[in-house]
Amino acid sequence: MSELSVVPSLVSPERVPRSAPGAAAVAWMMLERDLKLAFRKASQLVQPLAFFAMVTTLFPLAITPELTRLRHIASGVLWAAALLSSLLALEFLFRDDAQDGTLEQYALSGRALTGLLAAKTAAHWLLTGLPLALIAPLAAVSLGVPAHALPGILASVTLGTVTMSLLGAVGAALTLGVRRAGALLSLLTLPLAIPVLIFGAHATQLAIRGEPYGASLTLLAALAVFGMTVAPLAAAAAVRINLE
Amino acid sequence: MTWTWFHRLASPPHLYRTAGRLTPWFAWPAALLIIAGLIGGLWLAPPDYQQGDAYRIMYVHAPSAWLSLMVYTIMAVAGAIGLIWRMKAAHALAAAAAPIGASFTLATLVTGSLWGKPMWGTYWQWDPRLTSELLLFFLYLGYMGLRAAFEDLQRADRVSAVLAVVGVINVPIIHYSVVWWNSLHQGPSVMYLGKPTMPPSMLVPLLLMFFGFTLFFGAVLLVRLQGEVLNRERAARWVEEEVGA
Amino acid sequence: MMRFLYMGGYYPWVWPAYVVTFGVMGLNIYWAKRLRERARRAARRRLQTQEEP
Repeated sequence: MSELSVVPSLVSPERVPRSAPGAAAVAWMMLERDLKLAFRKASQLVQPLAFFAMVTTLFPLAITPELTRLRHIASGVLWAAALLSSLLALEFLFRDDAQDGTLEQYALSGRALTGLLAAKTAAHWLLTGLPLALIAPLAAVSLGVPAHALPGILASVTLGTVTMSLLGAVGAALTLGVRRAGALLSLLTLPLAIPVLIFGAHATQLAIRGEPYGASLTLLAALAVFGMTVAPLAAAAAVRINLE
Repeated sequence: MTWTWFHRLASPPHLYRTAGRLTPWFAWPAALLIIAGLIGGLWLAPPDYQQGDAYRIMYVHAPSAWLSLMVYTIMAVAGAIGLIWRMKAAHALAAAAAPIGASFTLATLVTGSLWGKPMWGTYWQWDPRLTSELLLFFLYLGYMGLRAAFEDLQRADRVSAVLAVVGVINVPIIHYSVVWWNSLHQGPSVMYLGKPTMPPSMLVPLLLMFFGFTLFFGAVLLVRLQGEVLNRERAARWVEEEVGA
Repeated sequence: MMRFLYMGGYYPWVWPAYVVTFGVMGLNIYWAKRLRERARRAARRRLQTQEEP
């Protein structure tokens, strides 16, 4: 009753020795490690991008090849495809590390798990979110979007995928102990991603029409900042509960 | 300030017995209020000058919508209490509340669409209130799905509590982004609520229904709570006294 | 009475809305009682299996 910690620790963690590297250095090492590991399995990196390209191809085939008409639905197509493909890689965000016990070691390391998970999430965004943002303008062109809209699309998808990675980290942490969590993970994450979808698609639409889209971008950035403060905390709490 | 009542409630046998004793105190007033509200709303209140008798759907739609939101909040607060003070009783309460909230969210959606048909001419409009309610329904489904995915009750309790807290922080963001989205597209929104000048003959039955539904939720919650508390209790002497094996 | 049931022509929507809501309430009562009953039965079973050995 007297214990007021939100998240119980596994055992009382070891004190970190004074000579050990600082928190920022540890986070950086974590980031480097995750990037290195990911590049060894390049196919996992390409798959979400291929999925994104595939989904955007479905719409012209299902609706119409006329670019003038596709332009009207381009923002919706791009954002729905972006949300779905950023969900795709989530299941593996913590899975490998949980299975071989690495995650447990992190939890026991005496370092703040929040910071370590934030670094992992950043790596995940660099590996999936950023590439998605980079090919989104390409997909946009194929949907008849004029060139003047491309910077706006790049900026909005970049900001939107940051929030998606953060939300996804929470979802992946919650379902860590669940086998075959794919559908459940989408059900948990997508409703929370609705604001990202709304503001992102709106910014894209304005960019396509050639109107100023700064306000929507600001809102997307606000969501990302808010996510950065809350999501790692929630993810760390969920990871600890699931490791017990 | 004494916290003894709080600690006493946290003890499963006390909670189980209190819940059992309180149930009729919620159930009967709920029944009375709802019957009074029905008579007032369906029979005594005059038809609306714009919507005719269709507005009477409000008397079941609005209290259901209120419950759908209130229950989610209760679930999140109970979950947070359960996480912070490691209180099994709070988790049992959250577990008991979720299906009730989900069912009333569904009722809100169905009655909203039945109200929409004569008002809008279609069963579904992407009206901000209905859209948020639909998203809330998905949040409930996710919460219950996550709970069901774990074998171990303790873990299910705590993981889903984290989700409920994250969800409740997001509910207002989702709601306002949906309202904002809707204002861009000039959706027709002609639902009755929020109209400032409702005569007492219409307002009083609505208030009766609000209180009646809330008490009804309380009664059902207490019954479910007894079940959830028992499920979380392994081989304690009080269980033997209560269930009489 | 017929006028009451007719609901000014809105009966096809007003009455189903009430039926749905009260159906949901009825189901809630039923599910809650079933949950409690099952929990009691499970608790009894647990107690019995403990006494036997």
